Amino acid sequence: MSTVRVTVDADTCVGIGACDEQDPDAVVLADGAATVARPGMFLDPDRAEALCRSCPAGAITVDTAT
Amino acid sequence: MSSTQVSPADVDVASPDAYADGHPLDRFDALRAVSPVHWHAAWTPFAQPFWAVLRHRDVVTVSRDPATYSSEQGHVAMWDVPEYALDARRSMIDTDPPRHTRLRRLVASVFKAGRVRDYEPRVRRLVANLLDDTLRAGEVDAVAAVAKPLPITVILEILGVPQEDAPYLLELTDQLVEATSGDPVDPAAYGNTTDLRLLPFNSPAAWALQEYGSRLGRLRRAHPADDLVSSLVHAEIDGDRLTEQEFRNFFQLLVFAGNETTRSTISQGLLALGEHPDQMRRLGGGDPALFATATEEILRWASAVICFRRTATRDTILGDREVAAGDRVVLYYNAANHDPEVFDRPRVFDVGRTPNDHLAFGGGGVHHCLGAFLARLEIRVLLEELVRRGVRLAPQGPPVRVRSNFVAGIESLPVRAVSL
Repeated sequence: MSTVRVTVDADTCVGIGACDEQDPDAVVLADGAATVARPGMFLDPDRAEALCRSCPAGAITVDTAT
Repeated sequence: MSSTQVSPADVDVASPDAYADGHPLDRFDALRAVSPVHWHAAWTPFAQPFWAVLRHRDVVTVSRDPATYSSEQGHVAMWDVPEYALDARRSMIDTDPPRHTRLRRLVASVFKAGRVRDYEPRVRRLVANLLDDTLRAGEVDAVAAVAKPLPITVILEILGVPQEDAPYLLELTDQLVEATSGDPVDPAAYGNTTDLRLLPFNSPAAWALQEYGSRLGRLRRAHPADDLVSSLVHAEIDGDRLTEQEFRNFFQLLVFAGNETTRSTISQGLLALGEHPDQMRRLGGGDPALFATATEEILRWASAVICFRRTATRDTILGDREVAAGDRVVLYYNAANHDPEVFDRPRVFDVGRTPNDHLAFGGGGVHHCLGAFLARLEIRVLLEELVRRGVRLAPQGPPVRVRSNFVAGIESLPVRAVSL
């Protein structure tokens, strides 16, 4: 199965924390902002889509370069 | 009113009178059907015309594009205020990124889901006490007995405000809503001498709330405690602290938003469950998953915040309308929450509704409601504790609604606890 990377837009993330609830292994929430847990980490597409959908701010997107 | 009979120009969704009997769903439906992005006339000689946005997808589009639809330019309410006043009264909701991001991240961790979960035992004890008192009292006002004390107690504990001051802060936030009724206010109330244009809601109660916050802030600067006010007065972002005015506006916003909107949602929810006893019995039927879906349905049904405004920063297209730079764009959340494009049988109150992509916390984007997890917790625990006691609150008379075109509130709702 192909995998994808996700990106958290630092300007759009306001630390709501829904992503942290959805997939705590994929993102880290600190100082009111989320980041991808490990740079370059790959996720299966369903997991990535669920993570993107969880963010009400729309800060998480699939990295189209992958 | 049907969509075939109405002229869009005649439909008013802006004045407080339009909300006298609750959300004007007939008007929303009529307008959405023929003019979903609608150029709405000014509702008073002091207001200005604006685009009324009624469709779910358009509310989402606007909410998720702060570069095109600004909260910082113009004003987030329907009427304009001078630029100098905007700066004086600016809080997190009146800002765009990056200023908004700086403010929001100061408080984000306190309201994230994991942290809110820690509040559940205290919320449950509070709800249990309120309901037990209600059951003992016979006929009560559900707003005074449950909907008012629950959210104010929780937000004051988080902020570190002494609980004995709750009645005073409730009075002040009630006055802020009152200022959206269109009725005149006494500018000198509470000893205010500040120009009302410099105050949120143009209300002297905002000044009083800010003064209260300033006093508490000074105390917490000298004697920090484990609370949000202490965090705010000591917080540093890139080496800067909040200015005194930023703190005052922040405190006022947190007290207001942390209680008024949840109070209104709980009041509307209790009314809806009272008017739909079959749905309350369904909740008591033993399926625990229904508490979460019922919470979302109450949020959709209540749509406690009627609208927020954005201001277009450039010429753009919304729906099939040409929106010009500087135009006022007002998002009607309950119109979106009854959009038949998104919700099957939107006028049906269904505690099992799934999916339920409501916009009660806004249309997404950076202004998604800070207190969303906390509001959900308070509503869900209230439903669980009602069912645990095997009761529902049956209305004993009509609700008295708050006169406002901003908050869909209920002043009083006579109820009596009866068996499920």
